[in-house]
Amino acid sequence: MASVPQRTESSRSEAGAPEKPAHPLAGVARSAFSKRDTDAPAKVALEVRGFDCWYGDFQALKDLNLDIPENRVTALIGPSGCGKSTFLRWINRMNDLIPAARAEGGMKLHGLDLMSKDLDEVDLRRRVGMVFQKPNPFPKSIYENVAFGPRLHYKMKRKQLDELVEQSLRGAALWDEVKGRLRASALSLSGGQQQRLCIARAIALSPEMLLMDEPCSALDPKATVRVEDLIHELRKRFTIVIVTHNMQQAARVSDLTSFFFEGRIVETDDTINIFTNPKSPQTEEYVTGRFG
Amino acid sequence: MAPLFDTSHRRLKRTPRRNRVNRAFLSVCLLVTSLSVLALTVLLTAVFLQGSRPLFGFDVLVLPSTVGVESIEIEESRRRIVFDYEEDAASAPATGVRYLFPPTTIDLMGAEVVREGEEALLVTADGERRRIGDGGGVLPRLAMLGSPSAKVASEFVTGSPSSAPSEAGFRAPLLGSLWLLAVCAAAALPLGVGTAIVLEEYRPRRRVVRLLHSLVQTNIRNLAGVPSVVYGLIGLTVFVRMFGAFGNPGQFTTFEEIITTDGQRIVGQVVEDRTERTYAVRAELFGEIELAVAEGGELAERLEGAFERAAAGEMVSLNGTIGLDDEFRFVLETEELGELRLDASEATSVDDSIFFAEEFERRPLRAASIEFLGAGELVVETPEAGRVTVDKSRIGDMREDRDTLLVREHIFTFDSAATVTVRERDAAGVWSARKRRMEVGERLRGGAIELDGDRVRLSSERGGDVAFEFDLGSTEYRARTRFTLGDEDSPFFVTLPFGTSVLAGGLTLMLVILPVIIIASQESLRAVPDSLREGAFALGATRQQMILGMTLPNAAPGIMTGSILAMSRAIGEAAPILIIGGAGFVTFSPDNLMSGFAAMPLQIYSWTADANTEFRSVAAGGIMVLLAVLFMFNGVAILLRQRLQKELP
Repeated sequence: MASVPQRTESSRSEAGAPEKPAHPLAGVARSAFSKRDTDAPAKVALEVRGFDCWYGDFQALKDLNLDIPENRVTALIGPSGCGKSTFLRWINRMNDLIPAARAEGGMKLHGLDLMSKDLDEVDLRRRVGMVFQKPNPFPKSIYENVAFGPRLHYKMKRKQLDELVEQSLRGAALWDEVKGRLRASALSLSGGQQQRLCIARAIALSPEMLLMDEPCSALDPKATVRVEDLIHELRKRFTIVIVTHNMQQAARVSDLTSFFFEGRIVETDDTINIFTNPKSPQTEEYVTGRFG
Repeated sequence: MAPLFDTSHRRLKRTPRRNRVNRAFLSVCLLVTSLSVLALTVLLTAVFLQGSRPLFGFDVLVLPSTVGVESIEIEESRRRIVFDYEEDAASAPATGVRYLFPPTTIDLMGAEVVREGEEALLVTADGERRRIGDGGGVLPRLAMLGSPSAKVASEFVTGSPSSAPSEAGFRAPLLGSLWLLAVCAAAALPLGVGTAIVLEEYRPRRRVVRLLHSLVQTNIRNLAGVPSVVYGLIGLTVFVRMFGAFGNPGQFTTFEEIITTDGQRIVGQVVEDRTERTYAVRAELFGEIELAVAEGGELAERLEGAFERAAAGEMVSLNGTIGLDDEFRFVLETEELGELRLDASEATSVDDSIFFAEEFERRPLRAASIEFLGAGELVVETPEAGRVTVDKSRIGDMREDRDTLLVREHIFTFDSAATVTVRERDAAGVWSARKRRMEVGERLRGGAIELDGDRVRLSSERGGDVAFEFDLGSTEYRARTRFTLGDEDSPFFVTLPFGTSVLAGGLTLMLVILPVIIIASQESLRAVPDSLREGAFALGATRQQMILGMTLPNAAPGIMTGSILAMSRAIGEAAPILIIGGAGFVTFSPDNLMSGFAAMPLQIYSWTADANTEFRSVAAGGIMVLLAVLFMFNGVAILLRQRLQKELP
């Protein structure tokens, strides 16, 4: 199963390891993979065809083709500056806020053409939630943070809103920690709690898709585990796209992994294949930690 | 073998620690600043107290700078001290009079003044000794008499302006400034914050617009440094005159009180024309003194004679003066009537404060006007209320140059502030007065009066502009205003152009502080981290929702602080108000947007510029009130910052 390409082997032996080494992620990946239910083929949630993007004159993304399946976790990996986050921010059109950014090509979310000129960005962002690298809770109370999104889009009664806030906080595995102090400032929470609050804020709108831009990079290992566990729970309800620099994390949480390099997608496959049997030598080098 | 580490540098002399220098420098800064603040306060207090009117509750007796006080005599009845003094050794002794103020606090009955060396001591009947002054010195000497009270300060703050330093109050400028500020805030806040939001939150994409954007941005920063006088000029053109688009002279509506001789006051409304430089504002009702004039007496005869001639179309001048003599008699001197003495001691109860007019003996009380009103009544009228109270009515500050004309049984009274009072008698013989006030800027004195049938045309001395027309036959003056917006009974009606009104003044101040508010608001908006904006956008907020729900609430404390500081700049601005024609001597407080106004800095300026040097101490008092207001503003700003400043991630 774990057949490593020739080049890798030779480079390893040059480094002075005569035996074929175990895959550095093998143990971790296996235990993670075993939890998966990847058998049933999933419907495609996001379809990307021939997607290009520029910042001014600089082409950041080149001819991307990708299918992101429904109710699966798709991890985007790759070295810094390869365009993962840029791609992620095109999905909910956050890049529209950057004046110099423009894109061409096809991108469809459940048949909705995201590249169409008369796309309703506000509605799109309601359908596609986003969690940022650094926890960014609003300087309001915990309750107000979660209620912010629903208040924007729906007319809700107090009771309904209370219920939704509780549901969302439960969904983000934060309820038990904050239920007694919903009126406290969100900034009084710890970093991990803040990030889960941001997730609660995003899922309060019941989005179809959840974009996570390195959600754990600012968190300590313990908080990271909690967020990763949360992602496992969330994938039952949402399609998740996660950008991560942490290979183990990608292996642990994702079903599908896409390797980005210099604005292109080098390889997209089931996570297990990317980490144990990558088709491209570039992927191999990256996941084994030889560059990037 | 070379040492592992080179330690030779240890032998070098160490550079002195930098932070010590910094600390010394900062200490010096702090010291200098606090000393200047302290000195300013002390100086102002001293200047203020040095005058005849203290602010914070001491009764102060002031003696002029004299070489030697020869004799001091206390007149209990008039609560004054008369003293002889020498200006210098060579001149003959002169007599000075000083009044005790407030007059009620010292019992001078049986008191005497004792000289001990250079000092003059006041010894009251119960043996209390108070120093009242000494012989020499450049500055007048102070003596603290009585106990501290807040009364004087409150009298100063709530009093009306006056031409007597000891009586001058600060109410009109204070309220005027607050009106200006209210207008200024109502205009500048939404506009400034709105502009800041547009500049910060709506960054344009297109290149041309981006260029424009940065141009505007740079310009606003430059505008913050433009001298406020320039804004005054802009305000004059744009708000006061409106480029002359609505005609010059403009039309103006004002409120007016119609007074009948039986004491009834009717608040009416008339419309006045207004030339460019005559500003009609709310008419003030001044006090009246009524004196009995015996039927068939000398005065009555002379007055009747004057009226007869006036009725025949002749112009009769009642120019004259009125004064009090030692025996409480009113001394009237008019061109037509000659000198008359009237015994008023029985008919009137004269308030003590009348004696504050210096050297009033034989000197006219700075020209009140007198008019004969039908059935044996004499009305002595003065431009301001609050000075002399006779028989429940009051005489205010009196002016020296006042003209009264009789024209066909109408009495036109002009004073230096260009108030015109028209009195007329109706069929039943009841006299009523209509007063119209043309505020500073235009003197009607010296202008011509023209009779044309039933119309009287008054023109000013400036090139014959028609100041206003007056129809003798009608009692009601209907609007000829061309551009009036809003209900004229409400305080919010507006006429075009604005003229030197509270509205124009407030908007001009708005121009001054707008760049400051914009910049402060921009800084506060910029301080809101972008991650919050992204967070809100990611939840599907529109830009407007993001601004209202996220940026503005988080930037609000900063915006408020900046705005309040800008406001405190506005309240201290004199130059722009001076340019747009704000008056330095206004007795009334505004009551609608079109009112004229006084402003604190302007009043202070006009006091300091007054020929009467005693006003300098009053100006110091004004400065202290201004400082107190500023202190309050900045205190509120600090409080807001402390209370509302949110922790941002």
